[in-house]
Amino acid sequence: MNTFVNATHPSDALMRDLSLVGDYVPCRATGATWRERVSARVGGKSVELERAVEKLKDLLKHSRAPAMVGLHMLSIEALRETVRWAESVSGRLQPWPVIASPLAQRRPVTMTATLGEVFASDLVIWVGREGYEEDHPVARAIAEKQLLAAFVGCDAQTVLGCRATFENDPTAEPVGRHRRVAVVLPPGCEETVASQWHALAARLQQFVRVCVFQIPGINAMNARGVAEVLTWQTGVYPATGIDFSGGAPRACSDAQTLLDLHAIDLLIEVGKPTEQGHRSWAGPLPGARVTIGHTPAHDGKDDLDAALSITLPGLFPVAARMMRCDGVVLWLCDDPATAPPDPLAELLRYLCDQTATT
Amino acid sequence: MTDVLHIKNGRVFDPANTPPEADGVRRDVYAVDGKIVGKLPEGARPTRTLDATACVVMPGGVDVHCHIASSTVNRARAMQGEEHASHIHPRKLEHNLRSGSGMLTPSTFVTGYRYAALGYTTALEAAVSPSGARQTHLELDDTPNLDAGFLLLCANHQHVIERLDKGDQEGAVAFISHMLRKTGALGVKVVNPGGVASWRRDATHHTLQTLDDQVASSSVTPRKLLQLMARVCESLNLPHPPHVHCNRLGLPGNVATTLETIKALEGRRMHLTHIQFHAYGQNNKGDFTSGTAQLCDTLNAQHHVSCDVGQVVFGDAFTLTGDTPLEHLLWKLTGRRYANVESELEAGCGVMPITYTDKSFLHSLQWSVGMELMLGCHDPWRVLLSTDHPNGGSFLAYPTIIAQLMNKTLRDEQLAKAHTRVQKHSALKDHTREFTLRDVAIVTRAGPARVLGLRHKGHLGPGADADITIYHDNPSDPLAMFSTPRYVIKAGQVLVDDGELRHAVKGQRLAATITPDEKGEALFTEYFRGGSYDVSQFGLHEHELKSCVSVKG
Ligand SMILES: [Zn+2]
Repeated sequence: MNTFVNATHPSDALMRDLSLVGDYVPCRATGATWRERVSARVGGKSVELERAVEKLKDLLKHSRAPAMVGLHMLSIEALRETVRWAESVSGRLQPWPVIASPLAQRRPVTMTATLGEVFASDLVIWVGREGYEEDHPVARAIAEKQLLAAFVGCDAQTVLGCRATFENDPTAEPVGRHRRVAVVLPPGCEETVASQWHALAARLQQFVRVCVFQIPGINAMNARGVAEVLTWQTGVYPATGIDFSGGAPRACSDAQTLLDLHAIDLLIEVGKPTEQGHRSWAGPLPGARVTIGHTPAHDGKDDLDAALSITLPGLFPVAARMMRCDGVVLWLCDDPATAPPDPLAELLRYLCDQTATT
Repeated sequence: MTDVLHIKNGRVFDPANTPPEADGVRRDVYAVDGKIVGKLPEGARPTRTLDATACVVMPGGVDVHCHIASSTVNRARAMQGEEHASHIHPRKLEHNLRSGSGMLTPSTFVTGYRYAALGYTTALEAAVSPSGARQTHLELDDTPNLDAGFLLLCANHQHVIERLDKGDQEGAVAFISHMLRKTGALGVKVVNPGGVASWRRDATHHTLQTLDDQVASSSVTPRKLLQLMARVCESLNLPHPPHVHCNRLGLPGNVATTLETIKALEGRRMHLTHIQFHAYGQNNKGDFTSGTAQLCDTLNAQHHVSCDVGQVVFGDAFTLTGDTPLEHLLWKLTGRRYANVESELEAGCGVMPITYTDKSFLHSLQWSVGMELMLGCHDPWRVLLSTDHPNGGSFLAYPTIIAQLMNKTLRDEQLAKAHTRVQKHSALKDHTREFTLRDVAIVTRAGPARVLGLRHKGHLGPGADADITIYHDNPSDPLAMFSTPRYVIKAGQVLVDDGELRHAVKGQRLAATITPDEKGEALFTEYFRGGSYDVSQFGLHEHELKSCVSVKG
């Protein structure tokens, strides 16, 4: 019943907002349903969807430990379907790249803020700014609005040095003179460094407004969305993964670790990684690999190697949502009343309904 | 097909529609297609009949103040890894129920299941920042069995303060009106009015001392903010008055601030939330005392003021609040795991676990103060049950609290375990009142529905939503009675059947009916030009708003 209406041209405002969430495959909606757009391959050969679903059922039936990995390129709507699916086949959900190190989960203090607060700071302290691309969209957005900037290294010594200085004199430079300060951490900042900045911000809070803002990895711009949806639906923060094998969600190790331990016999990549995020698994796979997601931006060779692939040409705009790295929910369209639903969410719902163990 | 539910021969407690003398009179209750009807329509045959002969029938419970769906709650879930690992809820395939985890901050599905299992079918999420509204709607969509609305954090919004500072009350009202409508909020939340804004601008301001202190060297004061919020609620004809978390939460002597806050609104309607945390006196050594005597007198006399208690329960709890300076103070005092998030110059939130223990003087006092308030205020319609879930404890503790209110022996047993100073001085010993089933029905459903302005909730009169809880008629063991309802019905659908949750239904979003305000929209759009995302991405789209149940004032 999901007849796509003709989507209007996405507005500049929409494209500007979404540039902070990541790059999907912009492809304008046509008048086809997701079923007419889907393509499926078994062993590299094109097949009908029904044949692919039979194969998927068979793979799931013989799998003791299926893992849905990737997840970053999914809308909130598609993530909901993926959680339901993983639960229904007693599988795992394993964001890749991982969302956070287990160490970060135990951080004693977190002092953070949304981008709007960072923009309103009178000083931005860039930590380890030399370590990542100049044109990182979130970093660029902050730089465009900043009044004053300071640059410090991303090492424990620097932050401990700052801490010693401020403990002696809270009004010391570069923070003390200012009213609102934002500390911007680089993607993949080591937790030992990050946690010290957060702790320093909490201590300074009595004298100066300080927040710490983490720039997301370029391959994980929607990581916050993945983390939030999985957390509210399961109650488990998916730092590295969630395991439903006992019928209820529990935290588990990351996909690569479990592959190395031969603890995954069916790897289902859900939401194809983007070209930049595309990553081969280290070492031979112990079991079958399935890919489900948007037709990749790269040459698609990866799909040919998979035991099974079910893909859709990327669709944009769609009436679905993603989340900016600071938690702001953004529609992937100008008007969700008229935009088509996310076909990937619909495909995942279909696959879940077809393969759910009863 | 018409769905007709017949509840036969139960002892009915419907305090919104019947006087005390009619309490517990046996009668039949009928629901047709999710609504209560006075009598069975001609020719209609019940699709299902529930025998309530050995049961008490009440409207579904309404939680007047809790934290169940927001980015703040989700941060709390994320921080509660150990707690969630030890409270897992497997999926129940046979009843099509999803899995989840957590007790203090359960996952969304589990939240809906556990509320329903206690006989609650409506809830109010009490603190949502404007930019966080979308996430709250998403989480509530994933919270079954509850019709739910939320309160929007407004009183420390940078632009509201600026407008008020310029003396533009009307502009501030219009601006807030637009935010409320656009986010699909049910009402206005006022947290530590001006105190949070002061701290956000100038970190040296941990708390404002009086209602006339200046907010961040502006002309704005807590008093002006309170009056503005009352004006917002009145001029927009909102179903619920300003929902106020007073200044100086948790500080000794703060009952004076609470009494001043009541005075500041000069007879206008207001709801004071988790009032237990705002009811402390102070002795000449500076120590906490109970401030309930004064507060009960005032509440008994001021019929325009309602409150919920924010009862503390011994054991683990989780503080999460828009009162960010308070949370920072708590962190400095306890050093427990803590997070603070500032949102778009609109509001902030702080989160941190806490453990209430009867060995602690303060925690024992807090428990006693909550009980004293519930028992010492004569009008249960205005003093409602809450734990400020999960701040004072989980909503799962409601049966325990109800049991202590209904039974002095149980209360005395708890008091005997409390800190010796509290045992010695607590006024609780002298309270002989024991809640009746009518009192319970009022503080847990009829009262919250009336205070929130939800005309279709909290009663069993014709036209009400068929949200019904049927308990075993066992008031001599209130804990057992209120822990495990026999049947729970939501919109005519039986969720809890013979004591077991067997079904889940989608809940509805409750949003205040607010007429679009062109001036407010223009002011908001202008203000939002400096925002970190486009104004078109703020709040809900019109078609989403249409899917909410519109609640008229
Ligand atoms: Zn609260």
